[in-house]
This record gives sequence, structure tokens and C-alpha cells, in this order.
Amino acid sequence: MTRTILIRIASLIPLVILASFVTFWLLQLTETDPAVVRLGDDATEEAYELYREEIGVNDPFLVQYGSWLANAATGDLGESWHGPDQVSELISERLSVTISLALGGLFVAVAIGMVAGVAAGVRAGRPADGMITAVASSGQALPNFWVGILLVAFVAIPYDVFPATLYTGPTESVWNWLLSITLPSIALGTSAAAAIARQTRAAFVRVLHEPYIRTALAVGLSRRSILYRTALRNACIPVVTSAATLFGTLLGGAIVVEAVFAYPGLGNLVLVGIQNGDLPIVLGFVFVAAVAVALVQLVLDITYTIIDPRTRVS
Amino acid sequence: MKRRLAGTEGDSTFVKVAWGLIILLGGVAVFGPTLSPYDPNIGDFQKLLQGPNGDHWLGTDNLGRDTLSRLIAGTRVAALAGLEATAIAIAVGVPIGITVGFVGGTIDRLVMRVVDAVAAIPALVLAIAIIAAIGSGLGQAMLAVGLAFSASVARLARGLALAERERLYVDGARVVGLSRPNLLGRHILPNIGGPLVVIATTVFAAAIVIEAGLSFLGLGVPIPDASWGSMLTDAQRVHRNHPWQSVPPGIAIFISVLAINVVGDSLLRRRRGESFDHPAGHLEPVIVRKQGEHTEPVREPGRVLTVRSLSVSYPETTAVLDANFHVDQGEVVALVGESGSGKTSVVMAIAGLLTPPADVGAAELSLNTPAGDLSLLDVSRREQYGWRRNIGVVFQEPAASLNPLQTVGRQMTNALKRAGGLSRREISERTIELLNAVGLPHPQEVARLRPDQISGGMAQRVVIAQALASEPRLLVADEPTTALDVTIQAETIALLKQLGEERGLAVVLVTHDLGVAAQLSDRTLVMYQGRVVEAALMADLVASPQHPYTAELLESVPRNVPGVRIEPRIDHLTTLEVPTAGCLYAPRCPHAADVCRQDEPPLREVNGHLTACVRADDLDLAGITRNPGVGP
Amino acid sequence: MTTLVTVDGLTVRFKRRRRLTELRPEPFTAVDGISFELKSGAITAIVGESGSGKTTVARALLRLVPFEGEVTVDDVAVHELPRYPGIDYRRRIQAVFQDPLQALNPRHSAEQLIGEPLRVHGHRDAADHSARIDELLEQVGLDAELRPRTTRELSGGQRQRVAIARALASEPRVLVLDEALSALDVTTGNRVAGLLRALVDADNSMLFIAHDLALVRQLCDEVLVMHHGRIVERGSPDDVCDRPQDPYTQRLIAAIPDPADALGR
Repeated sequence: MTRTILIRIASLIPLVILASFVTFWLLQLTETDPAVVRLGDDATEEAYELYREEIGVNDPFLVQYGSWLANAATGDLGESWHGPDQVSELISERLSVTISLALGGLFVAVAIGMVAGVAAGVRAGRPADGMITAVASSGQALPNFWVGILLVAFVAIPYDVFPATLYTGPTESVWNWLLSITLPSIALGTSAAAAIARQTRAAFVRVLHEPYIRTALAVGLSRRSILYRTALRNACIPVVTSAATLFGTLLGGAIVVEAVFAYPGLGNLVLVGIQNGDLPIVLGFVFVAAVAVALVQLVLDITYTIIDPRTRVS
Repeated sequence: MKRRLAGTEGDSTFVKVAWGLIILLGGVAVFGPTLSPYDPNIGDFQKLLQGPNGDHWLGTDNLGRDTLSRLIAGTRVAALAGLEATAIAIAVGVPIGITVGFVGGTIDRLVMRVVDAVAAIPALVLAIAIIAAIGSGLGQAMLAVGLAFSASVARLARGLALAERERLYVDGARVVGLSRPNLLGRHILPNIGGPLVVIATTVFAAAIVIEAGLSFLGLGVPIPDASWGSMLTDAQRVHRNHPWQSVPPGIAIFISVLAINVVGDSLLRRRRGESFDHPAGHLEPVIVRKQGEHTEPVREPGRVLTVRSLSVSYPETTAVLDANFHVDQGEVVALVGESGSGKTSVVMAIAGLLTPPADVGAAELSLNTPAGDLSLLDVSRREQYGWRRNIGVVFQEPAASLNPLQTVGRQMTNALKRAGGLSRREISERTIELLNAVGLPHPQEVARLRPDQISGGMAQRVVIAQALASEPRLLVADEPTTALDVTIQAETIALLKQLGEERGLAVVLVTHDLGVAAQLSDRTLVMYQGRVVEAALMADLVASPQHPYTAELLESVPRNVPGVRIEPRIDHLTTLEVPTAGCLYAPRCPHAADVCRQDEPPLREVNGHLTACVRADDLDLAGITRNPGVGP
Repeated sequence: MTTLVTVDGLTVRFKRRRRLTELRPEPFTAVDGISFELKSGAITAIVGESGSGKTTVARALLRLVPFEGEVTVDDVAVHELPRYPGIDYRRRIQAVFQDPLQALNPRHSAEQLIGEPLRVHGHRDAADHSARIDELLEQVGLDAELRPRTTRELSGGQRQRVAIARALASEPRVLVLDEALSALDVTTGNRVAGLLRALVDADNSMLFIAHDLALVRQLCDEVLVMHHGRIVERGSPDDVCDRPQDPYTQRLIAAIPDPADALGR
């Protein structure tokens, strides 16, 4: 088991490095001049050149990337072009917001989605199944930021329980933190929950057509036992596999949803970064997102190995 | 079977409505400017933030612009955005995916590493990065979204191509001499076109949402142009006092995404019909209806199973018509026939495992158990479970018949728990005992293994052990040896024979192989197209068949005897139509006469056999002898 | 009787990835240095159980898997050919696979299936092309009226006959039959076996891959028994079946079920 985990970790590192490489290369395509970003329009050519030299943008591409990666490995994502701040500091200040929302959204999506999907799956072909499937089909079409806007307009503002705009960090007050991420998590997780519900239900139905279900029936296992022991675990496998991709989608969605709630997350940072042409921030942001997705992927991979012993490395 | 793009008979009203909506939205996107009641970008400062009214059906926004007009303008933006992003994602992703999937090897691994890395970046995040590099604006944003999606499209397309490449027909086409481009264009692409369309619909729907999201963030359409996303930005500024503002654009996104999803699902559904028609799968088998005349069952001593007038039909075919037989304690009855003969339907009906759309009826289907007689006709689900507990079933595909995630021991435990009344310790003892009884060496170790860790022959032994867990009086085996290798088949036959004798089991054996039947069965029923055409003691059947079909089967079985060679022959097969009257075998029968084509012949007794051949008395059909070279 | 195929020291190794996650798949020898010849006018059988490597031999001859050793088919040195050999090689050796429903493109009609190799191998003239399709159908005992039917609309026996006609289209010298009768009903299989017998002539030869030794005995002229990638026994059908030397062959023969066994009971 430990070996399996180590191998997974080892295989995720090149993935993250490659992702950062692709982004680094992509951002090279820009015509934005860091010196202009930093020093404004009216500095001397010498001053511009000096700054370019200082931050290394005159070096060959691979050298630039190499030094960025070496620094990134130590947690240093470089300096913002726009100001004196370290990108890693700017990001870490805001990371908790975005990650809280994305994880909250994942929780909502998985918890509600799996429960609804299983509820539909165990009633496959019955009216309740049809209803859950219909609701889920509709739910999947709800854009997360619209749900967020509606929640703010119709829940946060009229009832004074959940904050409409004020984010509280978990270190300040866990309770207020939970309150502040509840509505955004619901906004973020609704469509994903619907997608998971449908996927779980579909996986269930597929499993119910497998020959081993017939064997279980022939052996005399009860409906309950077949559904909750045999079918459920087999049906979870494809759902867990796809949850990593889902987390990525949610992380992207969190950027939009935090704008709805005006939370000071990564989205806000990167939007300002784009307006200012501050590419190190964009790069750092993509890198952190890729690392976050990779970490969640790792956790899900491990979960997956627990559910499906066939995938263990012996 | 012609495939149409839209609106086949199978589609529900829902899907038709969704198609209608898509056509409507498409129309609005194309003819938007002419439909629009006002200029979407010019506001009337006298009429700010109005609700719906006669002049402005959906009200006005914070700058007094007509909401409906902006919604219409946004429709075109959404449609263009969706089309652009989808086209880019497909144009970039599909060729990459299909090419590497088809070529395989090192190129595949290298390219997929990069694709995986790109796909590890959330699509919206990557899109934002691309916008940072190339600047914002609708065209750029959608280029970014298209590129961001192309990685996951490439992954999906590769998966499809890879799966298709492994299909045997691709080897077939290669062997015939098709070049790679031909192979791709003529065989692989047409077969994966359907799933690609489904992928395209999901990308389209996702692109609409992302466009709205990017415009909402200010990275999409430039101000003051209308997009559903930028309308929400405006709405959000005032939502404290004017919550209505966020409703129309949100609904527009919701409805268009929903319509596309519904259509995408319907396309997917058309590709794999069955699982959608009967979602409960094996879990809810059909209940056998009581049909035909009601007579008091005759009880013979030692009788275990009685089947009278069993019929199984499907919407378009009759699988079994009027099957009658019984099995006594310690007796093996074989059902022999070729594919489509209905033999498997008979035993699955007996086991209560046939699933919809099968329709099963019988005049009697009864089992004599120590606790009294049981009937399977018109029973409740609970009674159906009770019936099955008295029957052990062995299936054709041993590996697929076991739960892939549980160890053998665990599955045995589950089976034994249902048998009831055993303590934990007794259960583990019985598990080892049963695994031992089916001839598995080292049962303790086998119990710890999962199905993927044991061979097919071992898996079949485990299935047999499970079938014996409830100590049934009747064992039903559906082609138990067909999936096994010849030497393993012989061992399995020997095991079934030994278990049947030791335990005095009544056995119903289904096989296509008269050789297998000969090893095990006492009596044999030969089936042809759903009808029992001959029934006799196995030895009699082999020595002197009374139905020409039985004779043909016997003659066709390859036997390991000297002096028999297959002679060169090219029979010209005229297309065989299923006759509407008379004997179903007549078109193939060398002895068919006019009398055979009149009425369907009933089963009757001739020379101690039951036969459905009207000419049985006149024919002298050849059986087989031990050694054809020496003579009888 | 000429030698059409010479196989010398054929070895096929796979990297067997038993699990998806396996990083370094272990090499696995499916075929282990076997040698044999195929002669014109004869049907040679390779008999074995699953995992014996018999199908891999067929795939190596068809240049579908990379192999070591020397293989000559109709004077072409197959081991020197590229991974995707041209039609000049494909013309010489054709194959019929086990399950025609999978081995034939499910969407194509009989006409398309047989027309495809004709076109590939240079029958482009339309009238000639069509006449040749009828001729091939005739050769395998099928009516021309079946031409428009797709794979799915044909019966099992008809499908396999279409597969044979498709293989015959390029007039190959060697026909590989990989479990070609195994998926068919016994009566149908028997008829198709008769058809194969009728199609062998002085100009061609067949390699019949099967697990059913009794069928092989009735159909073939020479038998090779494979076990774990090696040939453990070879000879005429009567010699192999009546006087088996290798213990594995003996087990295989003892395992053949015979309907006549019912008589002694």
C-alpha cells in the first residue's frame, strides 16, 4: 500500500512540472514587457534594460524556466512585476479562500451527488429514480455563479444567517468560516452534485447488468445486500475516478463564485494581475492550481485503491 | 436501421422539446438583430431598472437598456462562443487523440503525458492563463476555452480510438491490406463518430457556461456589449434591491445548457439502448405467469422439478414454446440445442432469473422441497427469493459471475449467510469444506484470493461451491464448461458428476455439446428454435435418434475416431426463411415431405422417444456407434 | 506439393502488463522458438488451449505482432518486412478470425466487405468488380441476394462465409483460420469445414488454429500440438490422435467428450 502511494506521488511530480512548463511557454507568447509593467511608460531605456536583466527575461527560454522551476520547488514563485511583493506571499494570503470554496464545493458535490445517485440507483426504474434523474439533469445545467447570485439575493440578504460578502478565515473563527463558505460551496457544488448523481446512478445501472449481480441473486443474497454491498462499491469506482477532474472544474468555478461573494481569493488576485499584465502572478496561480489538483488526485487515487484492490501494486 | 439526427420515434417529448429549444435559440442567434425590439446597447435613462412591463417585456437594466434585447444579443454571443470553442476543441483534440491512440507506442505515451499535464490544469484556469497571454475579448476568450478543452477532448478521443484499434475487425481490415489512412477513415472514424458527437455536445454546453463566467469576470465580451454573463455582472451590482435583474440571463443560460444536455443524453442513449430501457438489470427478474389449464399436479415419489407448458417470449420472438419436462432426485436432464434454440431461456426461467422484456408463462413450475411443494407461478418477490434458495445455479462465464471486488471467501460467506442458521465459525468451516468439495487445493488460500487472481477453471469451481451453499436439491447449470479449456472442461464435468452422485442432486444441464451431455445426462431434450423436438434417455438418443435434427447434430459432432474425414462440400445456402406453418426444421431437413409443411407437429411417442417429427415412423435415422470403423 | 510457408525459430515476446498501474511490465514469451512448414494443398492445424500461443503464431504470420526468427511466406521474408507491410505481402496471406461479428465491421454490407479487398488489390473496374463479388459469394455457397445485408443482418454461418469470401478476394496462397469455426454452431461449423476442405487446392495452403482436436483430426492433414509456447507434438492426425507421445497431448485427447460415451453407461 505504501508502495502504491509512493508510486502515485512519483508519477504526479512530472505531471505538475509539465503543466508548469506548458504554462510558462504559453506566457512567453505575450508581448507584455515586464519593465513597462514595473516602471511605467516614462522610464529610460537603460532603466528598462536594467530591470529586464535583473529579473532575467533576457535569458534564453530554458534558462528562465529552469531557474523559475528551481525556485518554485523551494516555494519561491518569484516577484510580482507590478510591485515589490513576492508572488508566493500574495497567493498564500488568498489561497485559503479559493481552496476552502473548492473543497467545500467538492464536499457538497460528492455528499449530495452520491446520496442522490445511490438513492436513484437503488430504485432504478422506479418513479423515484425518474424524479431524481430529472432533477439532476436540470441541476446540472445551473451555472454556479448564477446560483451564487440567487443565493445572495434570496438567502443571504433577506435572512441574516449567512454573510453575503464577508469571508472569515478558519484561523479566526471556525464557525464563522463555515458560515461564510456555506453559500458559495452550495453555489459551486450544485451543478457538480447533479453531475455526480447522474454518474453514480448510471454506474449503478451498468453494474446491475453485470453477470455477478445475477450470481448474487441466484446465490440468494437479499436485494439490500446486493445493492449496498455488491453494487454500491462497484459503482463507486468510475465516480471516484472522475472526481479529480471534477475538483479541477470546481477550482476554476471557485474563481468565479468568489467574485459573486466578493471574497478576497485567487480569482481577484489573478484578475488584477491580468489587468496589470503581471504575468508571474498568473503563472504562480496556474502552478498552484495544478499542484492542488494533483494533490486531490493523489487522495482520490488512494481512495480508489482502497475501493478497488485490483489496482494495488504488489 | 437508418440513423437520423433528430426526433426518432424513441425520443420522449422531453427530447423533442429540447430540440425545439435548440432550433429556437439558433434562430434567435441568427436573426437576433431583426427580432430585437430595442438597440441592446442604448439605454433610456428615464426607465432604469424596470420590472417586466408592456414596453419592456423583461424590464430594463441599470442603464435603462431593454433586457429582452440584450438577452437576444447575448444569445448570438453564446452561440458563437459555443461554436468557436467547440470547433477549436474538436479540431485540435480529436486529431491528436485519434492519431496517438491509433499509432500507439512511444509517441502515444509522450503526447499523452503532455495532454495529461494540460488537462491537470482546470479548464477555466488555463483559459485565464491563455487570456493573460493573448489578451481578453470574446474571440480570444473562446480560443482559450477551446484550447483548454482540447486536452480533455484529446484524452477522450484517444480512449475511443484505442478501444476501436483493439477491435478484431481492425485487424481484419489490416490483414486485407488496407493502408493506415484508409483504416482510419473507412473503419475507425465512422465507428467512433457517434461518441464524438456526444463529446461535442458536452463541450458546447460547458463552453456556454464558461463564456458566461469569463464575461461575468470581465474577461469576455467588451463593455458595453451584451452577453448573458456580463448581464449578470450588471445585475449583481443591484441585486440587493432589484433581484429580478439576475433572473432572465440566468434562465437563458440554464435553459440552453439543459436543452443541449438533454439532446446529448438522447444521442448517448441511442447508442446503448438496453441499460436505459430496463435500469434494474438483473435485479428485478420477471415473475412467471400462470397460464393454460389448471390441473392438480401429480406427485411422483422422488420428483424434484416439474415444468409444464413453459413459454418464454420477447417482444419480437418466441424463445421457448410449450416446454414440458421433469427432473427426479439424482437425475441429470440435459437440454441440448444450438444458439437460439431457447435452452438457456428454459433454465433461467426455472431459476427465476429472466429479466424484462422477457414474458414467461407456465401451467406448472413446481419444486418439491423437504419443506413442501413450492410453485414459481404468480409469486411475490419474497417468494421468488425463497424459490431461488432451493436452487443452485452455475453460469457460463465463471470469471464474470463473481464480484470482482470481494475475495472468494467473502463471497462464500455471503452465500452461506443467506443459507441461514450458521454461526460465524460454522460459516468459515463450511466455506473451506465446500471449496474442498469442489476440488480446490489449498482452500484456505483460495478463500483469500479475488476473482482476478484465479483461473477460469478455479472460478467455475467457486461458482459451483456457491451454488451448493444453500444445499439445494436442484442444480441448474447453463453451459458450465463452454468457456473453459478442453482439459479443464473434462475436470469440471467429472466434478459435476461426482457432486451430483454424492449429494443426490437433480440437475438440469444446458449445453450445445452432445459430447458433454453424454458424459453427464441420463435423459436429454433436444431443442430447436424454442421447441423441444426430441426427448429420450441419453443412450437411446445417441444410438437411435427419432428426429432428423438430432441425427444431424450427432453427425456433425466432431469425434476422435479413425476413418472419419470431413468431405469437401459447398452447400449452396439459399436464404432460409422461418416457415409460418408446419415443422420449423423442414427447410433444413433432408427428409422433409409435403406433410411436414402443413401443421406444426406435436411431440409424440415413437419407439420410446418423444419426437416432434411426423415422419419418425417412416425414417430410419442413423445414430452413432462406439467405433464407426468397426461397425455396430 | 510445394512448401509455401517456412517458419524457423519463431519467438514472440510481449511485455505483459498485468495491472494498469504496473510500471515495468514483465516480458512474457508467448511463442518460444517454434519451427514448421506449410505445404500447398494441405490444411495444417495448430492445436492448443488458451495461453498456448497458437493465436500469436497466426498473428506473427499475418505481421500483426513483432517477432524474432525467420518466417517466409510464398517466397517473401516476413521478418524483413516493415511493421505495416504493403499490399504485395497482404495479397499472399489472408485470415479468417473466430468471431465474424467482431472481425467484420458491423456497419458494412457483404458487398462492401468483399469489395474492399478487391479494390485494395486492384479490381477497380466497376462491372468486373461486381461480377467478382458474385463469383466469390458463389464460391462460398452464398446467394447474391445477400449482398446488401450488413454483418448484423447475416446469420453466424453466413457471416463466416462472407469472411472467407473476403479473405479469398485477393487470391491468397495461404489462408490462416484462427478458431474460425469455434464460434459457430456445430451443424454450421461442420458445413463450413466442408467448404474449407473444398477450397484447398494445389496452389494454396491453410493454417487451421483450433482447440478442438477431434475436429482437427477430421479436417486437417497435419497436426501441431502447442503447449506453453512450444510445439510438443507433431504428425499426421491419426498418429497424433491414436498414438500420442507427449503427456500433454494424451491429456488433451482424454479430455475430448464423445456422444458415444453415453452408450456404455
